[in-house]
Amino acid sequence: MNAQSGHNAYRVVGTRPVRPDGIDKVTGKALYGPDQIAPNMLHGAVLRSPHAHARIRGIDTSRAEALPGVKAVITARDFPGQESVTFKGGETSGDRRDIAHNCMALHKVLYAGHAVAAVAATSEAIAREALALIVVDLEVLPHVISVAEAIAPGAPVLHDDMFTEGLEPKPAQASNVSATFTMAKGDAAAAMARAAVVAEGRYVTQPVHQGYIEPQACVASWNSDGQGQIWCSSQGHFDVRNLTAGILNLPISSLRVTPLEIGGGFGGKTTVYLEPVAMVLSRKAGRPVRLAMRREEVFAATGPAPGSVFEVRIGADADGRLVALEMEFWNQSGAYPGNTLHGGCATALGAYNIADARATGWDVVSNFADTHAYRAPGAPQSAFAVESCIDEIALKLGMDPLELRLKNAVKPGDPSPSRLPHGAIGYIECLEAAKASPHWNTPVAEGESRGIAGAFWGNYGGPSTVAVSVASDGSVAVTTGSPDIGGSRASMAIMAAETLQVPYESVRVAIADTASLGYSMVTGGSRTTFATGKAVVDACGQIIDSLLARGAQLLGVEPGEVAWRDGAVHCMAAGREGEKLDMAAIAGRVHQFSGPVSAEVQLNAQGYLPGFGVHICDVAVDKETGFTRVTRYTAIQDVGRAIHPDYVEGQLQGGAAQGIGWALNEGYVFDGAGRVDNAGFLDYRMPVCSDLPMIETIMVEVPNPAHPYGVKGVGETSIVPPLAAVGNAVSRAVGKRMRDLPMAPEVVHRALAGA
Amino acid sequence: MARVVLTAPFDARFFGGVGELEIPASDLFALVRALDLRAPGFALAVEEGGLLAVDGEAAADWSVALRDDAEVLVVPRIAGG
Repeated sequence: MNAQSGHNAYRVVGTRPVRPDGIDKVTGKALYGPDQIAPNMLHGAVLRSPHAHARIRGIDTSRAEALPGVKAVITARDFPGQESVTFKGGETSGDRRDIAHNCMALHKVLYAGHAVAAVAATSEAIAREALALIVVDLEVLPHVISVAEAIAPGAPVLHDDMFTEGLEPKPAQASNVSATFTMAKGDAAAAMARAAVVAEGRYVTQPVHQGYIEPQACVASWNSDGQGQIWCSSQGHFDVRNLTAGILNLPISSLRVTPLEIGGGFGGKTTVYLEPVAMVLSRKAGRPVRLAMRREEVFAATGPAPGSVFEVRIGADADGRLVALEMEFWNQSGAYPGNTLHGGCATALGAYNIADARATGWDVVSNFADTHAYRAPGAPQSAFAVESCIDEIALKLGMDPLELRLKNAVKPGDPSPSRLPHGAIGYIECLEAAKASPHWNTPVAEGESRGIAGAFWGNYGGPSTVAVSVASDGSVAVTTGSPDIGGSRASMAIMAAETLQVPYESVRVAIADTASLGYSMVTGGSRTTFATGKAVVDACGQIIDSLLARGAQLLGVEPGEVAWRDGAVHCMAAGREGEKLDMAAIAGRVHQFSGPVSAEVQLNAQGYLPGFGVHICDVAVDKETGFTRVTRYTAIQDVGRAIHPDYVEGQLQGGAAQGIGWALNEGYVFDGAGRVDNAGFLDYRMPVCSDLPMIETIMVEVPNPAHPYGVKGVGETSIVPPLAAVGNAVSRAVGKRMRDLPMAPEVVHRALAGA
Repeated sequence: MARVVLTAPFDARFFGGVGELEIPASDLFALVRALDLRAPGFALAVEEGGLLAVDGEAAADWSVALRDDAEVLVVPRIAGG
């Protein structure tokens, strides 16, 4: 549902047309990563370490190479030497050497599942048989998994050359703490001392996987002339190209990456795992090679979201005004440095006006897969700690938790975590919508309890390139470089149709390969409908200008005597009103003008605004078993303007469902040797439809003035509140603050028993 | 003379904790070059992980001319998923 019932001023924006990729997807025609086939293609497989931490003393591939059907065997020695180079890909940076060594271990394996060798053969069965013939001589080292283990004195150090960034002076000794970061304002300690009530606690979350259905997969072909091609699904094929070319020391233009359909990413497909490996296999074998992960490889070797430990204190005055926040946290980032410290700090300070606050994060590496974003990186964990404390303050003060949030919520003009003043944000509107919602106004059912939590997430803009062209029959082709994960083909078509004032069905959207269009950043940071959409609207504006100029020529009138209306050039000259030229009449006369009617726009979109949300959760806790059932759930979010409301509601529902899983069910379980012990969907229990009620949604529309249609990013914010919303509901049911995730039945049972 | 406001980690890492500086610069490229002269490595760090905002708005184009009394905020970029 929509929070506002105002008239929709648009023709197409805000409608719910059939998705353009629907037929292909429901009939099985859509081509995903594992479906891709190339002529004469070989099948690859990757040998992975069974040990969580070990030094590679040697690898003997001779027996595998001798197996009939095997065409290539590679190790890290087949890759170019890697230097530490910062890769400027998405919203943040990473070390390309780490990414390369994560694809194939060189001197050490850093987690169970770390790739050590790969084979290409005439069948997958032969490739896997060959893996068993590779002899890897490993010196097993002691490993660490948890934050406590990793930062303990004398802990085995993963990277001998890693010294904590952000400490002055630079530490003399390497450690497992890669970086520290502090965001502070005022004097938090002094303000805390003056607080009338304080809520504090230590909150712990486990690493959780994004759980996308489609495993990582690609086909690569590297020719003897130095040119290569990759077909893969990812959140950003331009960055797949740039990363792979960099790792392989190839000119970027010699590598062409074609995007395939993507079966989920959620932040987990913003890097490379298989692509450089498949390329090296292809070069060695002289044939195209396909690599596809099995589910256990996805869990063991691709980035989950980090686990975390938060120590937080929040103080309020007797009227419920939040006055101080002190927070220190440690992110369990996996084998290589993470990048969620800023997100964790910003989330803690983002939603409420707290004059005196200090948040310090520590990034800690340990022996499991390198972690990656999961929608809003670093934010759900932080919001779990902060929003739980706010719930506790409400209980201590006897205040309505929604009213407490309303009293402290940020509004336009208030300073954001970066100190920039907030623009047209809608947190207050979200809280008001929650207050007016059917859910909030329905009494909590007998035997159930209710939790509420809010959210802040920064969102992003960034670079995009698009092309728009008008065919000779007047139909419109929009080409972008942004993989369609959450319905961007539909939203681009809607924005183009709205701008051009033509039917939605006359606009078709394609996603170009890297040789066919300029760079676009990843589909991530909730940026695509905002940034790429802005480029589409700009390009359509140029198309209109071109059609108006040509139309005036064809009508024989001055440029000022024509106007664009209903997808046509209308003559406004005196006495000729009513004459018009439609798009086909102009675009079909390409030989009489300077060329076809087309426009390409490149931009670096700024003016993005953060997303705010509020989630309400009802639960029934079985006092005998500790099992928690979510009985009702409502997700409310400021979406700016919903271009295609179905997709926006889907983002709200998807983030809520994933967050509920994070709260109640999910978490990596490691055995004593540091191996992931639940590397499959049977043991790693994500919620499915039958586990959940219908997630109700309320879209609050506070338009972003920096976007032609008011768009704000929506894909990440929705995963920020659920951990705390569920936690607050369960805490009220149990009568005890629940601070450890997941709140699995045995955990809740222990809490009920008072243990 | 632009007023530069440095937030963490840039203030501590490059300027000994100094959070505000006055720098004459025609645009953001010139401003970052000037700051890099004072603190070598600053330009690379900002390019890799920083975001510049001029008078309260994130800057998309560093070549746009700076007003004499512009306030330039240097903040870290935040990752997304």
